[in-house]
Amino acid sequence: MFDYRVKFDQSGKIIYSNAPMIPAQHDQIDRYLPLFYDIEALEDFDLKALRPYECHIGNKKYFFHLDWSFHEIDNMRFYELLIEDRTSSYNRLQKERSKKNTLRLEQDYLIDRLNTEVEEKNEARSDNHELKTILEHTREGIIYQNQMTGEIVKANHKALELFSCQKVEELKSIQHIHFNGNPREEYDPKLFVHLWNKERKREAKEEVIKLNDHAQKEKYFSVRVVEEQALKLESLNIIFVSDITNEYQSKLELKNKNKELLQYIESNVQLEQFAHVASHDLRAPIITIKSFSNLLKEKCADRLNDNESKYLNIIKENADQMFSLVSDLLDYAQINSQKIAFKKTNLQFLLEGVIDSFRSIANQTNVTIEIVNRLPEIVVDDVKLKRVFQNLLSNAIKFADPTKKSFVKIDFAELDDKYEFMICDNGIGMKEGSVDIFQPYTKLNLQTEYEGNGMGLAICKNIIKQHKGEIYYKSTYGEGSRFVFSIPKEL
Amino acid sequence: MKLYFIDDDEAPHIYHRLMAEESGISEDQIENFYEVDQAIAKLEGQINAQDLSQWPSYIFVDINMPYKSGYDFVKEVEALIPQELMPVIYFVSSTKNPSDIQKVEAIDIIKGFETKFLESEFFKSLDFQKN
Repeated sequence: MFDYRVKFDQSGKIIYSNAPMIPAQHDQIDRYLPLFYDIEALEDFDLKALRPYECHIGNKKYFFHLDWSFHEIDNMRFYELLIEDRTSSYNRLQKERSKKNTLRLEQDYLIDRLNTEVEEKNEARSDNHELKTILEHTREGIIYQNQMTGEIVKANHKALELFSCQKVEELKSIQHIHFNGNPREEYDPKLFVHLWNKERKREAKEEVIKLNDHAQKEKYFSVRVVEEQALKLESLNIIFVSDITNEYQSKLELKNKNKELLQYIESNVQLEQFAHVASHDLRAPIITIKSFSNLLKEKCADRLNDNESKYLNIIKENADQMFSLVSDLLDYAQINSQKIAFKKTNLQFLLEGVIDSFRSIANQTNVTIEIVNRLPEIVVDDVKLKRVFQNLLSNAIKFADPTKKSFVKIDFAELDDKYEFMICDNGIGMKEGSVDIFQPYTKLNLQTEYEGNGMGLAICKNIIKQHKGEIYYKSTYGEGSRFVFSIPKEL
Repeated sequence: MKLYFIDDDEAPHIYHRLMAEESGISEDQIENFYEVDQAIAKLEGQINAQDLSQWPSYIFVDINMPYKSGYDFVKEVEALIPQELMPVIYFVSSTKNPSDIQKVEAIDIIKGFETKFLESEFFKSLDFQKN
């Protein structure tokens, strides 16, 4: 029953052994089987309940079943260890278990694979359906092209429609029509192959081409070639085409308009520069005439007869008027040529300063000036805005009605996105007419009645325009005028 | 006190002479130059000769002149004249161009910027004690 026996005394010393792994003499049993270290405890231990004892002898692995017994001689207890070699039966058992496991695993794997394939097939069917729907309903023309030969394999309805074709075969002829060379300069009969070769990049690149469709109608197309790997299709180019004829032509028109506009701006700038230089250079001789005619009048007044004095006065007055005209023209040209310098400005202080400068003339003409609501502190070009107040106040005082008690009222209102400033007077007002009073040199009165060159409001309009604001007026003849200008809150 | 006028135009010279005389400045106190180089040569000559008897207290210089402008004059004067001898210099022009106003403000040795023509009242306001 048992293959080997080992006898040992109660000190653990081996007395007899026929087990090849345990020598018979001078050895303690616990050296080989640590379980037997505490022999007293061993008596309470059920060895059979243990797993097979596993050990290596040489390179071979053994499984043993252990049992034990004891007997007493002269009060000495002797133990016998019974060792049964179960190596072969255990190996066989393990092999059988392993085989069963492998079979179970294979079976599970096959079931999983089957399920996955079923799922994939369902998904593919669904994807295919979706793709078909997208292809036929997209607004882009989609063309499948053999990457090597350039042959068109397939195209959606939109692509056929874009090139005025009924079937794919007709579409193929598009490749061979003459390429106009604008905006591209080269002609390649295999147009799309050409595109593809040129754009052999990993990303799809859009290009505008101009060609005649199947009905020989000139069109502009936006073409995008996507590499086949991106769509997992072997050796195919996917070409996305959109008709951008309208957009492209609008773009060209816009470009031409912009060019024209730039030319106008340039000529306008040149004109303003000319006005500036001309008015600047004209001032010098006029000042000379003005100053010397004054001098002559002063020095020779007593020596001139009436006619001579009259002639001298005419020279002087005309020199004064020419000086005024040229100075205003220079002012107007300077307003446009000067850069605008925005800064936070207390308009109340600014306006009070302007009113002070008019105080004397206002008193002389019996005009009262009143600021209705305190003006705010906002971002403006203070020098230029001062000029606006000066011009509008000057006009309001100049055109006061001498037959009534005249007033000028300045007010302001804060709106959502802008500030509005109002300059109202009860002066002579303006007759209705088609004259644009904001144009340079526009006058509604005779020079003999009211001095001025009609540049003040033109200058105001330009300054307000530079502030991205608006200026307008309302006037009733005989009752007065109301000028309103606005400055946006965000400049 | 000497006054130098630098201008390429004859009229301002005549007018300013008259106005200066009206304000009490005598004819021999006025020197007229028609271009920048003439005035520079006069100044340089006095420095080299170490004779400052004709040295100007005031210089009135036009901005726009052929060959060399008022700005060229200022550059040369800054290099030529030591600070302690620097006369009072005014720019005189027919127009107060905003870009000129800005430029002039940045030049220390320019006392002011006046528009033509200068009247006798202006000359009367000058510091006659200045040598």
